[in-house]
Order: sequence, then structure tokens, then C-alpha cells
Amino acid sequence: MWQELVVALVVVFAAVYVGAKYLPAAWRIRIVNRLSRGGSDSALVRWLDTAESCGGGCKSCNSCETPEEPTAPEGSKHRVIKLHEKR
Amino acid sequence: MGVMEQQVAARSPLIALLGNPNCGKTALFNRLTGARQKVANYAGVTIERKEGSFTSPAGRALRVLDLPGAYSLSAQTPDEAITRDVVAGLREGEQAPDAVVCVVNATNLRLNLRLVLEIQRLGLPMLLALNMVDVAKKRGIEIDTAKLSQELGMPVVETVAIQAGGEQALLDALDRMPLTPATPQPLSSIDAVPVEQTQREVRRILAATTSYAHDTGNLSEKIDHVILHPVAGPIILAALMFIIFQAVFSWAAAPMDLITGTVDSVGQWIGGAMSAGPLRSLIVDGIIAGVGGVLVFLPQILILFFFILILEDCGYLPRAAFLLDRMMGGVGLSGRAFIPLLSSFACAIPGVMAARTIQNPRDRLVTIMIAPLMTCSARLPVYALIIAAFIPDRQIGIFNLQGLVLFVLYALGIVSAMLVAWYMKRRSSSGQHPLMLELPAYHWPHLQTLALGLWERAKIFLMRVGTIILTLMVLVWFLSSFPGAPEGATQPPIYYSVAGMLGRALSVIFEPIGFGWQICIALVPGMAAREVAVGALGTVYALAGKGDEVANSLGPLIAGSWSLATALSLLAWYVYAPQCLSTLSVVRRETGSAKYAWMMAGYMFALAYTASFITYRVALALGGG
Repeated sequence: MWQELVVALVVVFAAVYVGAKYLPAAWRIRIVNRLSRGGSDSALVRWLDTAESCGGGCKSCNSCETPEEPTAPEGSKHRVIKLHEKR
Repeated sequence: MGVMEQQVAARSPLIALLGNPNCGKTALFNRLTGARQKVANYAGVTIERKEGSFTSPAGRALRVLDLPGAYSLSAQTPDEAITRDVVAGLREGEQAPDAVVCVVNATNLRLNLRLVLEIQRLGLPMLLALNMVDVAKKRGIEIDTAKLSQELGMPVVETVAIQAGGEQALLDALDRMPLTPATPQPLSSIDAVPVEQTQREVRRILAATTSYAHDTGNLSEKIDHVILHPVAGPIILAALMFIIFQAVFSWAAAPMDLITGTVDSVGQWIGGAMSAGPLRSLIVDGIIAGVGGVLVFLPQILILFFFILILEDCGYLPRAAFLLDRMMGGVGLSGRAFIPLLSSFACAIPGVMAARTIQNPRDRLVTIMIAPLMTCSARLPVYALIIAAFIPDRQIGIFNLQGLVLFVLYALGIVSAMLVAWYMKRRSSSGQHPLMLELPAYHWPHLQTLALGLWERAKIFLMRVGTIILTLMVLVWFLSSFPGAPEGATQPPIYYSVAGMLGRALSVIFEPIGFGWQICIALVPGMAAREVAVGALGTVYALAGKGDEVANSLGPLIAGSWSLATALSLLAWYVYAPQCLSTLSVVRRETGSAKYAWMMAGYMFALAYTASFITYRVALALGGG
């Protein structure tokens, strides 16, 4: 029984991973917007909130633009906020 | 992407690295930030804006931009437009840099200084990094940096971007530089001065600051007399390519055997240690047979890239572009298409993106459309598997037959790309554009660069194996295992599974080209990443096998199951196989239209099917059934 349970978990995880990897851009934006309502920025949002995937590892071909990394100055009380534009 | 980032807090000062192509901007960027962006000894490697950050020796936090190289801010190509827009503050949501570090090649100031004078007219704070001073000194070029600084009216520092510590003078100068937000003059200020006047000014500055102490003779030119010779040049190029493909098979045997042995042992050990059940099947038949089957090709990929990286680093590749310019011109392509096409041997995605360096939109589109016909490294495992299983490991004279077949497959991809380009250009009326290419100086490959490049390739491959290939293998195993076989089944259980049903449905289409249902199962996940087809075959045959067969490696299994005609047909299929989804997605993005992505998928499917059909039928007629 335990084997079936572990297999089910592994298969579900694999399905979610592959599904998210090849998600059409419009769906991805919609899901990110839905999940980030109320300002939450969960790990799932950060994971999904990427450019269209180059297929696991290919993006290290270095052709892609590196996104601007917003950072607040050290010791500052300011903090960086992230706005998800709804389309 | 619809996701916008905004920052309310003040940012660290932003400096932009700007200069002609191949003057060492990315090497300097890597040196400053500790990044590992790709560097190579030819123009056009960087085609996008890259951002990094670092802290100077005085503790100053700085952001740095690496931009595509440009000869002028009057942009001619999409990558040059990125540079122009960033430095002029025209990019949406982005301010102009607070300062510009102009990187120039000290051995070629005559060409490089023109851009410096152009940028100066934008009125941004500037600093000149005189890179490759070590090479200039070796060639007897003496540059009076103090005088140059005085003439240009900006600080001038000497750098050697490829040496540890070669950036120190630049760091010190940045610490001394006041960095406050600056607003550039409009771009029209560049055109206020005629080009001829700018060039006269360059000559005047050079006369005042540079002297040629002794002429050591240019070794690169001497080598080029042979390498670029109209007869000897192409022969040397063909011989080099040939040696590379021979080595891919000859050198990889021992490490591949080691990996195969280890994977088999692990599979047998787990198979023996675990009780029978779905988890054991998932690990042994799904993960080890599938992922292990792909992992074994790592040595061949690394050997291929070992040669490509050496040729990249020593400066040979632009020469190859020059040699092939006539051939490419014959089919209506610009010689500039060589670098994007060459990048496609690693992966079609950087190749498609590198087409940004092509000025003519029609040429660019044709290059994008044919880039996937170059054999990407993901196809190598498929080729290697089938060749090893069906082509005897025999010497023909000095050549290894397996290496010869691999060479033919790569050549077939290249020839097909040329034919498609010729056909596409025949239908368009755009004229030819002369190849303007700066040939870099030759130098010995740097061991560190080579090691880092190989490490990056290994990392990319292992990351693909550990992420997308692993997860796809799990799904292939699941779809190949459920539902189980019914009572009184006469076929292996996989035959009755979801994947089996899908494979049998697809085999109606693929039967005429010799693909059975097992191969059809592998074709579907192969659309995500080509190597997955090998892994999927591993899983399919592991699940279809009985007893000890499961532990055997895939090669002998397929050799016993397929006819030679089927194997050759599958090889032909993968020369043209419709692109992976990621490539199609990038084509859509780069062309701005889904139409071209669909066109690419359609024409490649038609080519693949036709080539496989002809190959299969001819092989059957010749007794390969």
C-alpha cells in the first residue's frame, strides 16, 4: 500500500511540474494574478512567475535577458514591492 | 510577460558596459560581477541586456549592465537597437545608466574610438576601459593613456578582462567617479557631427596618443594566409569537422561503458533490494531505465563541446563563417547567419535568438526558420543510440564507420538547411548583403574558459536530466503502466496501458515509415525535449521486457526488436523532426507571430515524414527489412 501512496505523490508532483513548465503564457499570467491577490507572494507564485520556459536547463544558454533585480539599499527602511499587472 | 516590477526605494548606481563587438565587455562583466555569461572570441555573442551587481573595493554597491556590442549608436540590427535604447534611456520603465564604461580593444583603437566619440555626445559621465592592453603591448602598440585621457576628456584605465585582477584599475576608477542620476542628450545629437569628421577626429587622437614602437608582424595574418586560402581553407574546415565527429564516438566509449555499468548495477541492486510493487517498477523501469538511458550520453556531448569551445575561443569560428560565406551566399543567406546556425548545434533556442544580429529582416526570418535543422545536442543521444545499436563498430581505412554515419547525419541537416534557405529566398525578392565581419586575433584557448564551458554544458545537461527529463519519465512510466493488462492478456501489460493505446493510435500514421507503437509512444514526450525519446524508449522496452531483459541496456534491446530499415527511418526522422515546444515558443516570440512557429512545425513534419518514408522504403527494397 505504501508503495502505491509514494508512487501517487511522485506522479502528481511530476504532472504539476511538467504542466507548469509548458503552461501557455496567458494561463500562467492568469494563475499568477489569481494566486497573488491580496499581495501574497508565495513560493508557488514565485515559481510560476517566470518567462516562458526554455525547457529545464536550456535557459542557461545565456541568450535570455536577465531581469532587473530590484533591491532596497542596505539598512534602508524602504522595501521593494512587486506589482503584477493584470491583462 | 504581463508582470511588471517596480521599486519604490532608491537604487544603486547603474553603469553600462558599452563597446564594439568582441572587445571583452562580457569578460569584464563576468570579472566584475562573478557571473558566468558566455564569452567567445567572435562578435555577436551577447544579444541581450544582462544585469549584475557588485560591491567596489570602497564598499560602493553598483549595478552593471552588459550590452550587445555595436559599431555605432545608429542601430542596424535588433541587438544594436537594445544597446542604443538602453544607453539613451529610451527603454520602457528603465532609466538611462548613471555612467558609461566604454570598453575598447586596445589593438584596434582606429575602429573602436568612433563609438566612444558618439557616446560622448550623449553627455553621460564616461570612463574608458582600454582592454587587451597586454596583447597590444606584445604587438608593439604603445598607448599614452594620460594623453588619451586628456584628449578624450574622460578617465582612461587599462584592463585585461581575461586575467584575474585585470579589472582592478577599473574598480579604483569607478570608486573615484561621482555617480549621480544623469539624463542623456537626445539621440539626434549623435548625428549632429558628420561621420567623416568623427573619423578625422579619431585619426587625430590616435596620432597624438599611439605609437607603434616595433612591428612584430601579425601572426594572425600569417595563419590566415593558410586558414582562409580559397582551396586549403575549406579542406581544413571539412577535416576539422570530420575529426570532431570521429572523436565523439572513438573517445567516448570508455566513459560511456562506465556510466552504463554503474546505471545497470544500481538498477539491479534496487531491483533486488526492494519488494515487487509499483514503486520498484517506477524506480527501475521508469527512472533508472529512462533517465539512465539518457545520462549515458553525457561523455559524447562533452566531447563535441570540447571541440566547439576550443574553436570558439581560439578565434577560428568567424574564419569558418568567412569561408562559408560564398556557399551561404549561393543559397541567398548572409554570412552573418553562420553564428546563429552554429549556435543551433548546441540548442536551436540560442540560435534563433542570435539571428537578431542579422540586419535584413527577410534574411533573419530565413535564418530562424532553418536554425532547427542544425543538429542540436539533444538529438545526439538519439543518433548515438541508434548508430551504436545498428551500425557496426568497424574501421574503414582510417575512419570509424559509426563516426562516419554521425558525420553524414550532421551534414544532412546542414545541406537540408541550405536547400530550405534557397527555396525560401527564391520566393522573396530581397537582395544579397555583403558580409562585414571583424576577424579577431588568434590566441591559444584558455584552459579555465574551456573547463568552465564544459562544466556549464555538463550542468545544463544534468539539469535537464534531473528536471524535465526525470519528470517526463515518471509520467511516461505512469501512462505506460496503467491500466494493467486484462485477464488472459497475450501482450505485455504496456500494450493495454494509456501510452500503449496512444502508441497504437499513432502507429496508423507512422506505420508507413516503419515506426511501431513502441516508437510512437516515445515520439510524443520527445516533443518536450529530444533526449526524452531515448529515455521513453528505455522505459517502454523495460516495461515490455521480461525477467533479465529489464536490466539490459537499451541498445541491444532495440537492435533485437527493430529492423535496419526502421532504425534508418528513425534517424532520418530525427534529422528533420518537428521542433521541441520550447523552440517553437521562442520562434513565436522572436518573429512576433505564431504563424511562423506553425509554419516551422508544419514544414519540418512534412520533411521528416517524407525523408523517413523514402529511407524506409529504399532500405526495405535493399533487403534491410
